[in-house]
Amino acid sequence: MAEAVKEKPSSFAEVVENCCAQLRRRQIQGSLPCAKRTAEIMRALLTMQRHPDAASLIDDVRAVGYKLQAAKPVELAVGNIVRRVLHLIREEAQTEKSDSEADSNDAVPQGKADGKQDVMKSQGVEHLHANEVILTLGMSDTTYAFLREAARKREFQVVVAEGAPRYDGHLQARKLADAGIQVTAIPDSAVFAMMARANKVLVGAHAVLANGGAIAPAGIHMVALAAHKHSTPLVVLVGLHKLSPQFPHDPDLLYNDFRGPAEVADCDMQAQGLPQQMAYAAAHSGVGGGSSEEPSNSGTEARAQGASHPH
Amino acid sequence: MDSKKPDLHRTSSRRSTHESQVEGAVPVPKTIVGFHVDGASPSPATEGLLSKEAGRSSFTEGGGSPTPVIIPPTFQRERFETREPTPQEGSAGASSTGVAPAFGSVPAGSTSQQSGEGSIASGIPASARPKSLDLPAPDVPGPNTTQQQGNSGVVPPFVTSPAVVQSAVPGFEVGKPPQSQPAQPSAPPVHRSPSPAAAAPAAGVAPSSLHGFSVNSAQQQTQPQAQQAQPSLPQQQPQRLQQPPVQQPQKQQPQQPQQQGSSAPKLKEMSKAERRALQEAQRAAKAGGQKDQDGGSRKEGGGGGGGGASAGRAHSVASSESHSSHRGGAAGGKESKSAATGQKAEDKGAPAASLGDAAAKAPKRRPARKVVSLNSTELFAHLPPYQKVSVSSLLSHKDAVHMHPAVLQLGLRYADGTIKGATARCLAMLHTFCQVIQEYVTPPGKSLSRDLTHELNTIIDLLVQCRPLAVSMANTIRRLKMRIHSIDVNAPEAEAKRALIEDIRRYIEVQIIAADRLLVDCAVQKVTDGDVILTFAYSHIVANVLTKAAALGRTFKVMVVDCRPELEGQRMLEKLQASGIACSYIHLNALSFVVRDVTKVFLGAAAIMSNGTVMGRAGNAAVAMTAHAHSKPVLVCCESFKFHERVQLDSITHNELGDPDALVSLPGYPGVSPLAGWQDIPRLGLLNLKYDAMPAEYVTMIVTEYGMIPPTSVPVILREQQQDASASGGGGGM
Repeated sequence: MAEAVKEKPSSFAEVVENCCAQLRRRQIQGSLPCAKRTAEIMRALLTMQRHPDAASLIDDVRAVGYKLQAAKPVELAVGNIVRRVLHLIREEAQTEKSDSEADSNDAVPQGKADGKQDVMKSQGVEHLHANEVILTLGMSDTTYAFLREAARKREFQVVVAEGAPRYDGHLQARKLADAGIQVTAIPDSAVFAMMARANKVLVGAHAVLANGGAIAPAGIHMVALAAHKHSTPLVVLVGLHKLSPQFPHDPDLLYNDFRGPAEVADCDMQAQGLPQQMAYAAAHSGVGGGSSEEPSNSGTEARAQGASHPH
Repeated sequence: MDSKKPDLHRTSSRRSTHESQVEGAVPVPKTIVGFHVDGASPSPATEGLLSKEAGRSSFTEGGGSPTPVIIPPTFQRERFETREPTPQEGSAGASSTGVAPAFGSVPAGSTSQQSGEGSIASGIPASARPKSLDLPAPDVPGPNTTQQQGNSGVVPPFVTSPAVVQSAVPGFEVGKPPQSQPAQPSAPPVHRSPSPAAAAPAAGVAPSSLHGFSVNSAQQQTQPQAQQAQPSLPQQQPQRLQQPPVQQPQKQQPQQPQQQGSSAPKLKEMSKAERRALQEAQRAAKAGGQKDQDGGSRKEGGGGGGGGASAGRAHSVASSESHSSHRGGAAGGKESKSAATGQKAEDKGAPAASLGDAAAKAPKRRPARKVVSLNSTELFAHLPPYQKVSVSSLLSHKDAVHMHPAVLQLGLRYADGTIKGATARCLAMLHTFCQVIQEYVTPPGKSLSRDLTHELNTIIDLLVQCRPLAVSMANTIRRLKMRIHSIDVNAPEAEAKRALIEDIRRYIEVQIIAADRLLVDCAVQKVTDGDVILTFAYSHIVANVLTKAAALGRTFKVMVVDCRPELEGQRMLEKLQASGIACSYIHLNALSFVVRDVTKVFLGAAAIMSNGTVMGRAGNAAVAMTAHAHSKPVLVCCESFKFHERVQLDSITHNELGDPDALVSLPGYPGVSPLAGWQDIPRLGLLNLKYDAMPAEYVTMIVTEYGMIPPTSVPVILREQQQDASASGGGGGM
């Protein structure tokens, strides 16, 4: 990535534009890649442009940060990294009143993102006891690394919900089983039933918000509710770059991401419903005022990504 | 048996080659073939299972390609297992001898004698066979059943390899000649004509003929067969002796040569039981590995011409894991790890396993337990493992022979999911019971109330094999049994039956149909203009409520929540859309996103326990929980005949396991699920729970035909029902 950016001899603005486009097109997915990419852009900003003083640098960083975040509001990691950089700049500016901040900036954010996995993994053994039943949903690299590390010293079982409609739970189950952990894959509908037997719930998350809520792949809310109902501890495994100071006033609407409905209902099924809905709309539009609106909202919809649980 | 074969062939000339061959190889009742064909179609129910004629004809037409049915090897293997015990029980001599030769070390002389006995024993039933073909004769004793099981075993080969089947004819004949030399010349033409390919040298084909007889997967079975065929040839037909060596190399597997050598001295063709035993032994050797083989041979050496029991036991020990027969059940219990792995390997090939026989179940259980086991805790060891039921597995059930075809049909429909849902299953069951009762005749010297109850019990046993009983069915059965008990012993049979059927009819009308109507009328009141109603998967009663509300002109929207693996919500969606209701379709995972827009939640139920716990399709509880968390009212629609006095605290104590493979298939999903081939991964299990338990706290109210009640009032209804039933033979029939 970094090479690709630098190879383009064009201006820094173009680099930023490029990144924004990729974010919007979901060519960069996941909070870790987003965080890394943001850090790279920040470094490029510091190296490619000279600033007379800290204030102007801060302004620039801010402007770029807004731009990136606006491209993909749901990727809160972008904003987190920008804030982190701003913080470093301010610190640097305070200690030395000079403009030598550039050198110290490069390494820090990236190192944070990369190093967090190791630190977290090492905690695995601390939190799991022998013969435990862990429940998780979908695929999370963090959770996978955590469990695999813990499996070196502990014998435990993992129940993996498949995480429709992405079904990455299948991958998670397979990988964990290949790593030698006893795994049971279940459909999402069985989460509630299995929660009665789970000792802990471990999930990865997309971001953690200021109120302690987390944004995570669809289905986590249900898992969290079930865990709450069964008084099962729910642990969200996240790197620090995912901690966001934002507060979710309306989390579902603000921080969500929608994917095509085809993943939930294939096009045939959608097409089947269409004529009926049209006929219904036509029949009812003449009759009453309000009813014509209904069909427009209906049809098959899919909400694939995103759920939050202030918990 | 052998002597009879020629006759059989002649008489069956009108039949297809396949059938005649089958019968020739092993006495096979026609019924099975017919059943089998019917079963091949996705829903065996559509066509009456009874129509053997149709089934047979279709099968015959196939001529060279009886392809429609695909029976996985595992399945076939089980058939074997099933068969094994029977010989021991029925015709001990034959079966016992059969086992010994399997291991190849038994002295020829002793075996020959015993085999002769065996053939005779099996020959007896052959005479009765033609009859049994058309209709399973309930009155034929032990030997007959033995044959039937054996026969059912025969069916699969057709499916797996048509060519083999064809070739089977000649091979079969090869076996025959010794006993009835004159018959042989005449018989071959009949059979061969349809299958020219096989017509050539009988001896060469012999192995394959045995193959046709054997149920196992091609490779494993062929070998034993080869053994048998060749030994038999030398003795009986010297002139053919030369041919086998020439042709066999082509057709047979590498192992054959060794076996030939060892078994060659052995005498004439073996009885069915013997062959079976041989094959089983072979399989055992394969599955269990070296160790098993040793054990088997050792035993056999000791047993020699010994009783069938000892031989059979030897076999079961040797292959304790892969095939535990009734007898070997104990041994099977302590199966070794190595054996288990062997079994697993076998299962991979054909995950679709059949059950239906106790013997068949034992081996199946092991892999299945692996499926759901949470390692050491074995959370689900108490639940019956999922077993695929197919026509032939069902037929191998010990009671299947005597069973009313409507019962078998019903069982298959339960098993393949064409009838699902508590109400539908209960209704179908009652209809079937009516049929059975109508044709029931009290055996002389027995009383109707006693014997009919017994009859019902066997039927229910069989149905349970297909799928565990729903609470609704259990309740109904209890009522029905009470009713049957109350029949006056002195009442004339016809009258009693008429009264019984009338009561069942009334029960259906009152408890199910009228209750549904009342319930719908009641629940419709709760659907008001502007509502956004959330529902989960498919519940016919909820669908009825919503369509009725739409018919009444209410304007509302419905959110259909669905979940894999069954995706029943699509059915709901179709039904609602057909009645012009505006719908949204979402996955369970996205529920928390839409739930805030919802005004009411309508759910169906499979059963309601007396503590208010609602058992429903897996996912129901999650939906109710989410709705409860968002303070949305949850209405559960459930007729009172699904209420049950039991108390259930969680979803795991009483539940049903579904097909784990359903999790792997992701229709419409690009690529293959990483779970594909999960059977190969020792530490990976799939769990497909069918139901879950929704705590009463999530239920705002339960809509019944009595009106709307809080979940705490379920015991009241139960008590009233009980009083009703005891007071007046049932206000609602029965």
